[in-house]
Amino acid sequence: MIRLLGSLLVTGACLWAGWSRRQWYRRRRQTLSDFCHAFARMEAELSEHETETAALLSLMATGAGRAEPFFRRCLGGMEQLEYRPFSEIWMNALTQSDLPLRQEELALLGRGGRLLGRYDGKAQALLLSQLRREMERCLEHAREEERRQGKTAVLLGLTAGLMAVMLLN
Amino acid sequence: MERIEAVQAAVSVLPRELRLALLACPKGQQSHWEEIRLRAGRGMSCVDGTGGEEPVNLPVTAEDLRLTVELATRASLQSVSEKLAAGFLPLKGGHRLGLCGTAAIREGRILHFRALSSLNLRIACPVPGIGAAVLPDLMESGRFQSTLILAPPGEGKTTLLRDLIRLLGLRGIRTGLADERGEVASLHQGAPQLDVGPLADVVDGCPKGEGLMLLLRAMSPQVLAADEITHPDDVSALCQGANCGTAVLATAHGSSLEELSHRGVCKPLLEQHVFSRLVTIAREGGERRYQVERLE
Repeated sequence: MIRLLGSLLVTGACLWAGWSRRQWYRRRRQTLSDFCHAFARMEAELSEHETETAALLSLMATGAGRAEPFFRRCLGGMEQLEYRPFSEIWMNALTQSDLPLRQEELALLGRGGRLLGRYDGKAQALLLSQLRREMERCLEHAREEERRQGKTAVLLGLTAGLMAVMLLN
Repeated sequence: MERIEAVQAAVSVLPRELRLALLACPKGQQSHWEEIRLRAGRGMSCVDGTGGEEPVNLPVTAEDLRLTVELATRASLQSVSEKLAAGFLPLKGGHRLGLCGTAAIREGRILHFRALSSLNLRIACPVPGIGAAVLPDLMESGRFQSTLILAPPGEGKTTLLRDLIRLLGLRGIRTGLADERGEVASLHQGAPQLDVGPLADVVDGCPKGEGLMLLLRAMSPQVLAADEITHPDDVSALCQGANCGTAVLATAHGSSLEELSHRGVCKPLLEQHVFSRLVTIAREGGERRYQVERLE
């Protein structure tokens, strides 16, 4: 009985590890997609209304899905403008938000802090759209990876669990 | 004391290190500062009432200048692009930040600065009462006479204009002020940050010419006021105001009436005898002296 329970626990744990990897791929895809939508909205706001950065962040802090916590942190960080540049506030918010993204995707997002608020509205919208296009390429990769490796991760987890049970028995 | 408070408020747009270096200077020195100049790769200096520059021993980098603009705009250059085209940013409290550097131009208009080379932080400090000595000469039979305040930049035209508007209000005379750059009243959420008296109606954020016409139509002022006449529309609105029987009060850059008459844009004002009083400002040592002249 104890052996059966142990086998189930080992298999379950490995399956869970595989399943959570699959979930990570899904969260990554959703996060990238939400950032792309948020940037598209920001581009429109900047080119049409030249919206102030704080107001822009405030808008994104309530309507950007998985990107919301990041924008909320950025908005909160505006209080520290006296002590640190906006690009640093943006980077701090990125590191603190614990986003399910790869290092290169985080580096890409980090570029946003070096373009927001530095130029006129149209120039910012243009630079933001370039950044968004690169993010969309990352999103495509993320979709592909989720499709190919999501199921594999679950299967690998299950297989690893069964193998462990067999070896332990 | 008021100037020291103004200095402390104005330097709040500077990066922390520069701000602390300035605030560490003796209060006696601070009380004479009228401008703070920052030059990339060189340093920082404070300009006093005599126009002399006193260096502050701290290197200034191009990044310091960029951070200053970031602080002054709350990281929103896009929301001040209209003002940037004029080469300066109005700050809360009536202070202003002049910018210099490599400009990025689109359709003949400055969009932003690719690289900043120098900044000039002009400290606004209202001096209540400076107009009191001048005002009696500007009145005739209880009516304010149309007046032009003429002086080179930085001599205190705006300060005198503001105080005259305040004093007119205290005498029960209603003034309509077209404050295009927000330097005279410095409106913040509808309330003037600088004292323009109880009877001033202020329009800001729009071209002076349009602002003056709006005031004329909507607020029926007894005096129309505008700072720094630079555009033919300003001149035409002032002429129209004068023709409607409203007294006008304005400032212009220049050191003499003759110099002004050579400037095409202001010519109609002189030809139509819009002004009957001229106030010139001369600086003697650190003191300013105001001279009133009757114009025929």
